[in-house]
Amino acid sequence: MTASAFSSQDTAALERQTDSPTEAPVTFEQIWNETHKKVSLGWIRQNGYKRICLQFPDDYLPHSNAISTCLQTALATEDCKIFILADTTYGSCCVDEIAAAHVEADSIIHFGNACRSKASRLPVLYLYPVLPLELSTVMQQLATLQPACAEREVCVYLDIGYQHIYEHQLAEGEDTLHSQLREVLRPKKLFIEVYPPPAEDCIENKEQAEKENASTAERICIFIGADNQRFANLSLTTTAFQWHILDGASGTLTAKNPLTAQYIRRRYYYIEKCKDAQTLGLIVATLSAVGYLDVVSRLQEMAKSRGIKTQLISVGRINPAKLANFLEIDCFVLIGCPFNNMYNSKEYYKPIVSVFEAEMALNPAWHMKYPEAYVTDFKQLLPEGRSFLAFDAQAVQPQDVSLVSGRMRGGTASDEPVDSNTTVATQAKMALMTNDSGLTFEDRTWQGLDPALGETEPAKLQKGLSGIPINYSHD
Amino acid sequence: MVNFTVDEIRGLMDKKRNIRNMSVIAHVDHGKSTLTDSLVSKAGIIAGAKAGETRFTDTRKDEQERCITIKSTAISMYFEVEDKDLVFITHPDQREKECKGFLINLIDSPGHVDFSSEVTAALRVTDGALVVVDCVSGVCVQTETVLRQAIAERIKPILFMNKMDRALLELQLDAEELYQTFQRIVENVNVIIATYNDDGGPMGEVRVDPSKGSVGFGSGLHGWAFTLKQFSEMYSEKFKIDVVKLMNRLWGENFFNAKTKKWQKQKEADNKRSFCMYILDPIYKVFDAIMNYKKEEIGTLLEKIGVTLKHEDKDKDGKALLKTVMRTWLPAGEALLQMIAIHLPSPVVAQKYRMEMLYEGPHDDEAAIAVKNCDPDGPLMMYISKMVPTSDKGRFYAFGRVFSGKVATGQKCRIMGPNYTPGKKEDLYEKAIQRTILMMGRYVEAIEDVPSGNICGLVGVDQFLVKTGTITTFKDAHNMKVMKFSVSPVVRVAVEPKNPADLPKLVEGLKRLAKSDPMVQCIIEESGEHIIAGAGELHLEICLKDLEEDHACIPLKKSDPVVSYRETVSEESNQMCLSKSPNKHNRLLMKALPMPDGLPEDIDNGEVSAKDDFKVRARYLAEKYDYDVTEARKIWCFGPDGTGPNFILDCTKSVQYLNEIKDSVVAGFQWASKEGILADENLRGVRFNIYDVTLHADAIHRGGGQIIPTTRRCLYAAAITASPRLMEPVYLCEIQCPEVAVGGIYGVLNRRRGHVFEENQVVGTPMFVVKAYLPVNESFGFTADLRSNTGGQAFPQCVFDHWQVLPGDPCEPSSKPYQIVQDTRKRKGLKEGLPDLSQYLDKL
Repeated sequence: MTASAFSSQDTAALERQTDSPTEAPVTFEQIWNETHKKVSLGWIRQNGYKRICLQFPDDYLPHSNAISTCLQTALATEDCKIFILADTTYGSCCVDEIAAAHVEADSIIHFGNACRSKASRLPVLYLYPVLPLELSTVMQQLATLQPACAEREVCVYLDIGYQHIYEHQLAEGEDTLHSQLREVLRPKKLFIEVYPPPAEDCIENKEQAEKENASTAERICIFIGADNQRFANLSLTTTAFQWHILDGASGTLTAKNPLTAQYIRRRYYYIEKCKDAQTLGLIVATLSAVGYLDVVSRLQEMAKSRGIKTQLISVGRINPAKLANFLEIDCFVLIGCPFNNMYNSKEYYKPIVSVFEAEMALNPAWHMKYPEAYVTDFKQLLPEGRSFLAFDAQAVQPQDVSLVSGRMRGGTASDEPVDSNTTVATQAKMALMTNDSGLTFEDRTWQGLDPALGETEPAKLQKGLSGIPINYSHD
Repeated sequence: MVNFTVDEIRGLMDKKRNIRNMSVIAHVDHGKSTLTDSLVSKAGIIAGAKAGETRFTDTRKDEQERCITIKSTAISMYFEVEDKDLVFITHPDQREKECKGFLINLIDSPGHVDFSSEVTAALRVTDGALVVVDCVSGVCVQTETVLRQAIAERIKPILFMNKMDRALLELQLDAEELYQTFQRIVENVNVIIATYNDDGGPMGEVRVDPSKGSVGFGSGLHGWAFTLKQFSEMYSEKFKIDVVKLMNRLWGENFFNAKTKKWQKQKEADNKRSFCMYILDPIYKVFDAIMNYKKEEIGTLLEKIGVTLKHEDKDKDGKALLKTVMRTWLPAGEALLQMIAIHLPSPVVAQKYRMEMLYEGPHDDEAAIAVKNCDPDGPLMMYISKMVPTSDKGRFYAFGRVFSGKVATGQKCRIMGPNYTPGKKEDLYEKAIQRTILMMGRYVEAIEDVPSGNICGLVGVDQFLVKTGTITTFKDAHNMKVMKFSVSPVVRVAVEPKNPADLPKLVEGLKRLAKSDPMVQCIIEESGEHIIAGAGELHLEICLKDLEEDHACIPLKKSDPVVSYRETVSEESNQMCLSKSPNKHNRLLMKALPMPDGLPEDIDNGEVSAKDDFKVRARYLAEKYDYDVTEARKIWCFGPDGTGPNFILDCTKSVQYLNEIKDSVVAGFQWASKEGILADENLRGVRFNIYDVTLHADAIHRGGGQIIPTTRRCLYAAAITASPRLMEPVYLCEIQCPEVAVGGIYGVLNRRRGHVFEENQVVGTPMFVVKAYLPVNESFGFTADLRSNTGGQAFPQCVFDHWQVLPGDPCEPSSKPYQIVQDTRKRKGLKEGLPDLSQYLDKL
């Protein structure tokens, strides 16, 4: 055995292929122009921020230095410190308040695509890329939809990169984009929205939702932007008569509907798996999203009423290797930003479901209910959210046939009180704590070293390993 | 009208020696339900005149319409046996003193092979079986299958030759020919019994013998039947011979010379076989006289046989008259009742030898002893064998047999599902029984409690059991053994609601369907397909109909039937496969190789299982399959699901920390053996060897997260390099037809990749039996195809037999297996194309 067995060649890191970015690379001009500069400087000065973090997604990093220098020079007189944040733990769309806290920042400027989840701790300024949009081609393409759109309600969603067009329109008044679209499509009613919407209070959403729901299923929706995760989220959560994507870069129009019966049936498998679970792992994979603790306690309550144990875990960026360490967990619930997508990966040892799916599995109010639209934002499932359904522990019927294993699920709901897992164990067991709430290791063959106290000769002290695991010095 | 009350039945339930639990089993269309009517009418539940037409135990609408039994149906009946017949019951445990009443719990079962799971469920809760054979077609495939199952469950059989009316009216057999037919059927049945039962075994001799009265003859349709006992009683006074002795004379090589009035042992010119002379001749005469309208003769004959016609029957003639005369002369109910009461065992007798077959736990614990003694005062042990739908949608009666103790309304019990293991909580519920009920065919009657030895239904248990289970009051009780079915659910259809929003209703409906049938499997696959798997096309058809009309109540879209495949390997891996963990600090080295022929089946049958002692198992593998004993001792686990026909074997030499990663490797193996590399199907017949393992010295770097995905990758690499193959399920197909149709059968089978391996003439009939192997995939529409090619003369019975490697390399884009793999991948929403070895194999 050579040392190289355990450590890869140095050159390997250089030769490693990275995943190619899914979206076209951005240019400097798209993410940093005079407007951006003006806005950010104004924001900093107005609020008197001193330690400012600039958070970049990975593909913006080549330009980060230039932007930082630019700001630094402009703010030279004001004794401001600028920091660059990158390699965000979960997804670059979320504001990384934790990393910002490391440098005791008092404000964050977030670049690139944002999920616009509500930040709870620090003031955030979002700067979106400015993607060019050839309005004439857009109109030309949309004209083909005209016959279908006539006398229907039409909703046009702009991807976050086209925010500037929307703002422009608001500033200019009715006559630009709105009227042009009206001209081309001649719909009964026309809405224009930017997606994702800025984090608002849920109450407002609910009213809006009720207003929308009346006619939403008959609507034609058009998304201007690329076929990306944002489109997937939007189209899953919004029911519409038809969905069209207009690719802003290439100017092509395609019809697409991701919320098919097929998709929901596939997710039903995982919902069944979630019902089958004896132990649920609640992965907290969010940095700032408000309400995640409420979701956690709600899920814990629902699981408990079915006799399902829960384990709250946080493992940073999620990958198959990390989750496979939790051998006893049967199903994971990902509590995170809605723009995460790892639900359909086959690489994971145990399935991962979204909060919404866990809710469908565990909340009896969802029993026999078919979701009209998906809910990717877990806040909507909390009280006052638009998809909130009250949880009634009395209505829980834990006995049920599993259609995955064909077995009965929901064993005897244990009446005995659950011991807290903070009991300090006796000295004889040589363990500091007993862990008997979430994970049971009784089915494992390897139970750890047998102390066999007093039965074996004490071993002599020996010189152990030294160095770091990647390359121990003795190897 | 009914001759008994529930109270009378309840009274008899305590007289456990006067109880007979029996099932009626036979080949399809041999007349089980029709014959059962005779007993039902004797009990006064249906009018005598209707017996044979009502098929009282076919309770479902489609059963009545199609004239085929689909579900087994139970009925409890009370009879009184006359004193003169009681003396024939000699065993002290076969009757209570001073009690004429007998309680017969009868289960009528379906004959079609697709529903044989219903037969299995019926046999489990009964002690005796009435085997019905159509004397025209003789012993058929399904007769053998059900009889074999009955013997394996230690069920004592009695035989009934049905459809004698056809033999006389249609085939016009003469007496000697008919005797020969009977004789041959008895022999055939006894050959089957002898094959599967050891006379020296705990059940003792179970052969059927007409001269003992355990074989009945008659016609269920016309409602008449007899055993030799009936005739012997008629003649015994005349001959001044004891009834029992005379019975012996009336069967076999016994001839009577009417001139010399002497009994002889050989056929001679002027003597005649006693069976023909004393039994068949009178019957033939009655038939002849009535069917040929010989008015005067009828009168004298009726007088001779002691039948007086009722006033309203005087005008009848032809078949109607024949029916009336025959059923007055030789009432079927009476003959059957005597056969059952005299020859079938009481629970007291049967449970003595059945306990060891029924109970999983130690044979000397409290529950075992109570079952053995059929002790109503012992702890409750009840086996639920199936669920019967109630009129309340979605709810079921749990139907089963009380083997010991008493089950009562309101009683608190432990309800244990098939996955319960003593000491653990899984699949265990403690609940009160809401109600106990008596099953009466299409009706039920509430009853306060039911003591040991009886069959009954329970309300309020269905929600804790899927299909079967054990109910007990004994805390340390083990499960009653799960039933083993003779058929497997190999044919599958995917269903989806026509309106997508009905999906939750479909899911609910599938759950109900899963309960209502002992065999059907309802599964949601990872691909999102909702699959119903059944034994055959007819089975699926019925399940789908039930689902659509009763359980889900929504319109459904159904896919064409598909079969599930298995993945296997055909050679040893052509290289040592190495995979590194994500952190590159751990390496696994493995190879895959096929198991020797027969071993996967041994694992399926439980001959080799995870539960065995590893030393015993290793010795078995070494002796039978030439495995290296030391290696065979180190089987880490079976998979998928811990029991499947694949295993992973530790061939390493002194590797550090190996025992620590065993759980992770096992988890990875379960995963990989459940979702094979080719098409995500289960593996079958693959042995994986772990040759070497390099592990990081720190436990944290060789945790499950590193090892589980790596094991999976390594197993996949090993499978890809070992010439992977697909396996398909194959039916054993038995076709009965006249000689002229045989040619047509060959044509149809050839077109469907089937091949014939046996062709026999059924002795004494013009019928041929062709046995063939037919891939399940090619069997859809086979029955219809066969009928159209043979002018409707051939009747196939298909039952899953084995898995067979599909010829062709699935990695060769032009081959058929390749196409199947791609289709399956597409259906499951997987990436199309072939697995890429480089994704799984790492370099040093």
